Amino acid sequence: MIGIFILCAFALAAIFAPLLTPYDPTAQDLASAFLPPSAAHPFGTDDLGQDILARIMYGGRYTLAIGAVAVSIAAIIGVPFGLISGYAGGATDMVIQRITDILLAFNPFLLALVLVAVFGVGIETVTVAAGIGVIPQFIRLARGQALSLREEVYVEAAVAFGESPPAILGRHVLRNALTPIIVYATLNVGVTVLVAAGLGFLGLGVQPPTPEWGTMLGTARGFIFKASYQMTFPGLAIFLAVLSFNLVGDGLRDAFDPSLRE
Amino acid sequence: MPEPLLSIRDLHVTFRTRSESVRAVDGVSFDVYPGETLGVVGESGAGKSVTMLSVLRLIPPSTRVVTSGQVLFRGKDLMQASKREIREIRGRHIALIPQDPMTCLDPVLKVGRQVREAIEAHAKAPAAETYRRGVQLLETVGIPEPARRYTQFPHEYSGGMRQRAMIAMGIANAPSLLIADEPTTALDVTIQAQIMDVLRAAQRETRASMVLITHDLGLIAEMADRVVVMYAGHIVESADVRTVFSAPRHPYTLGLIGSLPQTTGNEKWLRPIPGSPPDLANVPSGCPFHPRCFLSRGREICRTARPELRSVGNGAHRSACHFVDELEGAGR
Amino acid sequence: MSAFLTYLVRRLVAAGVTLLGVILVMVLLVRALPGDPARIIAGLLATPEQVAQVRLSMGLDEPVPVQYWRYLVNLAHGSLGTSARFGTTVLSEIGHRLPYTIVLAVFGTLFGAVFGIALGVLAATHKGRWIDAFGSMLGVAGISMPVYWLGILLIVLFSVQLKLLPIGGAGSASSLVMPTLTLGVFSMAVVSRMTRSTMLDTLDQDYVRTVRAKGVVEWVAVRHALHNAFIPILTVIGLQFGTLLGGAVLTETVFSWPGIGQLLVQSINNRDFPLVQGIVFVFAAMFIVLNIITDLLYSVVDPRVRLYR
Repeated sequence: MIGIFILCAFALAAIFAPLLTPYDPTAQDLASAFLPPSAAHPFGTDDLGQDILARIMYGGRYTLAIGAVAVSIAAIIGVPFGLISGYAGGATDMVIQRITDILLAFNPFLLALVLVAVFGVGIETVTVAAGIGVIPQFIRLARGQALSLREEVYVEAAVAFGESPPAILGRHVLRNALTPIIVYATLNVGVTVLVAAGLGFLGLGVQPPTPEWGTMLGTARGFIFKASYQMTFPGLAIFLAVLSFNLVGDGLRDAFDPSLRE
Repeated sequence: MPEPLLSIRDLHVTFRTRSESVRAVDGVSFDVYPGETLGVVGESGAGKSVTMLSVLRLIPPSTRVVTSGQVLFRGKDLMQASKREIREIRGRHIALIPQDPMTCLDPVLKVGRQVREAIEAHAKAPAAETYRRGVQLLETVGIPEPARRYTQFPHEYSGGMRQRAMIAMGIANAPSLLIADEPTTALDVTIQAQIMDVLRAAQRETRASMVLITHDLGLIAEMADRVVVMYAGHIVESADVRTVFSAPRHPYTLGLIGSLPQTTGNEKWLRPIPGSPPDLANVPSGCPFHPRCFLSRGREICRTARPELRSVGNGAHRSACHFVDELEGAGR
Repeated sequence: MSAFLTYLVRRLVAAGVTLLGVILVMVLLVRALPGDPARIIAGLLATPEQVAQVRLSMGLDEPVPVQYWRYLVNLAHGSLGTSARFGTTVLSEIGHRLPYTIVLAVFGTLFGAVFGIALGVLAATHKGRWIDAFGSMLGVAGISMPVYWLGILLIVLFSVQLKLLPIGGAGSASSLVMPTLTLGVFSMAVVSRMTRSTMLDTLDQDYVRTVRAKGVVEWVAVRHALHNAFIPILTVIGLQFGTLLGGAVLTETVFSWPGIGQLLVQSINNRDFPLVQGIVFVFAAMFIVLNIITDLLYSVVDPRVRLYR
C-alpha cells in the first residue's frame, strides 16, 4: 500500500514536472556544475550544471513511459500467443513453446542488449527491446491460464453452443485470465524499468541529454569521487519506482488470487 | 475404580479466523482408563480429531487457536507442560496414529528412515540396533519382506501397508496410550479387518490404552470397551459399548444406530438423521442437536439451554439431553 | 541406467535444437543490421578490400541458409569465428574471460541461495513476527534494487570511505567480495520469497504433524518441511543463475571485472559482431545446460520424480 503512495507521488511529479520546477532539465550551465544539494538546487547539479531534481522529475516521464509501453507491448504480443498455445494444444502448442524456450534461453536484459546492439540505441529501441525481453513471461502465463480455464464449464458450454475458437478465447478465456495478467504486468513493469535503466547505464539506452535515470547514473559513475550525490538520486529514484511497482503488484496479487504466489 | 490414565477436563478449542470463530471443541470432558479401548464416535467435523490432537498439542501453530481446559496425563496437566515435557510424551508415552496414511508419511524419505526417527526421538542407540528394531517393527505389523520394505519410499507402499507403517511408528516406543485416528477410513473394506487385527495385537502386546476415533459404528462395536459420542464439539453420550448399542439414551445416538443399514428384517430404505451437521462457526443455541432432533419437537428448553452430561441408569452411563427420561425403552 | 541415458540424450537433443534456433536468430539479426553489415563490422576506417574480406568470411552476401550453414560448419569445427576488433579467434577471447564470469555467477548464486533459504526458513517459521516482516522487506527491496546502483553504493562505502576493499579488477580474493554481494542480493531476495511461501505450505502438511507427534525437536520437523519444499526452491535457484549471468554484464562493468559480460558490452560498442554472436551463443548454451542439470537434480531431491521411465 505504501507502493501505491510512492507510485502516485512519482506519477504526479512526472506529469506536473514543468510546473514544479523552474529549471529546464536539459539546459546546460557549466558555471554551476557540481553544486551540492542546496535550497536553490535541492538535489544539486550534475557535471553539466543541470539541476538534478528537475532531471529526475522529467526523467520520471521517460522511465514510467518506457516501462508502461514496454510491458504493454509484451502483453499485447505475448498474451494472444500464449492463449492460443494453451487452448489449441497439439502441434501449435509445441511450436510456440519451442520458440518461447529460445526466447527464454536469454534473460530479458541480455535479449534487450543484443537487440540494441543490432538496431542501435535510442529510446524507441530501448522500449521495444525491453518489451520483447519479457514477452516469454506473458506467453507462459497466458498459456497456463488457457490450459486451466480450458477445462472450465462455461468454456465447454460455449463450445457446445458452437462458438468459434477465437470468440471463445476472446470472450471467455481472456476475461477470466485478465486478473492474473494485470498482476503480472504490474510486476513486470519493474523488470522493464530495470532493463531500460540498465541499458542506459551502459550507455546503450536512452542517450543524453535526455534525462533517463539509468543514463544519468551511467554518467554519474565517472564522478563518484567528485560529487557522490549525482549518482545517489537517480539510483534512488529507480529503486523507489521499481519498489513501488513491486509493492503494488504484490498487493494486487494478494488481493485477487493468493494462489499465484510464485 | 482405578485412576484414569488420561483425564480431559472441560476442553475448549476455538479457531479464530478473521471473520468468525469456529468452536471445534466446546467443553469436552472424559477419562481414559489403563488397558481399555475408548471409542470416540461422531460425524465428520464433530471435533473428535481436534480433541485428541490437542492432547498432544499438535494443532498446527500457524492457525489462530485458543485452547482452554485441562488435560491430565497421569496427573500432570499437559496444557501447562513445557515444550520439552510435551516432546517427551509425544511418541513415547502417548502415540498418535494419524488419519490418512497417504499424506502422513514424508514422501521424500525412505520409510525405514521414518520409523527409525520415531525410535531415535527418544533413545540413542547404535545404528545397527535401531535398524534391527525398525525391521522388527515392520514385521510385527505384518509388512511382508520387512528388510526390503525398510529401504523403500512411501509411494512404493500400498495404502494398507502405509497404515501398517504408521502403526509401527506408533508402537515403536511401547506407549501407554495409543490414539488411533480413523485408522480404517482411507482403506478398502477388505484391508480394514486386517488393520484392526494389527491394532488389536499391538495393543494387547503393549497393554496400552487406546482411543479409537472413528465414524464407523461397526468398528466401535468390535473394538471398543467404552464409547463417547460427540456432536458439534460436544459430548452427547458416554457409556460402555454394549449399553450404547442396546440402550442408547440420546436422540443423536439413536439416530446414528438407527441409520445403520439393516441386513435382516424388512427394512428397504436407509434412515439417515434428517438435516446436516451444523456449521461450527454458527452452532445452534442451546442444545446443538435440537434442529434435527425428533425428541425435541421444538420445545423451548432445547433451544435455549445447553444440556449437561448427567448420569442415567447405572453410574457409568451419561447423556446430555433434557428429555432423556422420555427415551426409556427406546432402541429395542 | 539405460533409461537415464535415453532421457539425457533426449534432453541434449532438445537443447541442441534450441541452440540452433538461437544461432538462427543471431544470424538473422546480423543480416537485419541497417546499412551494410560487412561495413559496420569491418569498421568505419576499413578499406574496401577489408570490407569485402569480412563479407566473404562471414558469408554475408550469400543467402541466409548458406550463411547459417556456414556458421554451423564452423561451429562443428570448434570455431566461433574471428573477432573483428581484436583479430584473435572469438573462442580464445571468450575462453580467457569465461572463467571469471563463471566464478562470479557461482559465488553470487551460492550467496543468494544460502542466505535466501536461511532468511526464507526463518521468516516462515516465525511467521508474523518481526523476522518475517524484516525478511519480506529485504525481499521486496532486493528485487527492486538496480544492480549497478547497489554496486556503486558499495564501492563508495567500502572502497572510498572505509578503504577496505579494492575498487575493481580481479586482483585478489577480496575483490570478489563486492561483486558477489551485489549480484547476490537480488538472488537472495528472490530465493527467500520463494522459500518462505513454499515453506509455509509444507509446514502445514500432515506429515510434518506426524513428525512432531513422534516427539522430535522442532528443527527436525522444519528440516522435513524444507526437504519437501526444495524442488520449487531449486527451480528458482537454477533460474537465478541465468538471471545472474545477465546481471553479470552490469556488475562486471561497474567493478571492471574481466568476464565475458564486460566483453559483451565492449564488443557491442565496437560493433564486433562475430564476438557478440559468440558470447550470446555461449550464454544461451550455459543457460540451457543449467536447466538440464537442475532437472536432473530434481530426481535426487525427490524420489517420486521420475523424469525417465
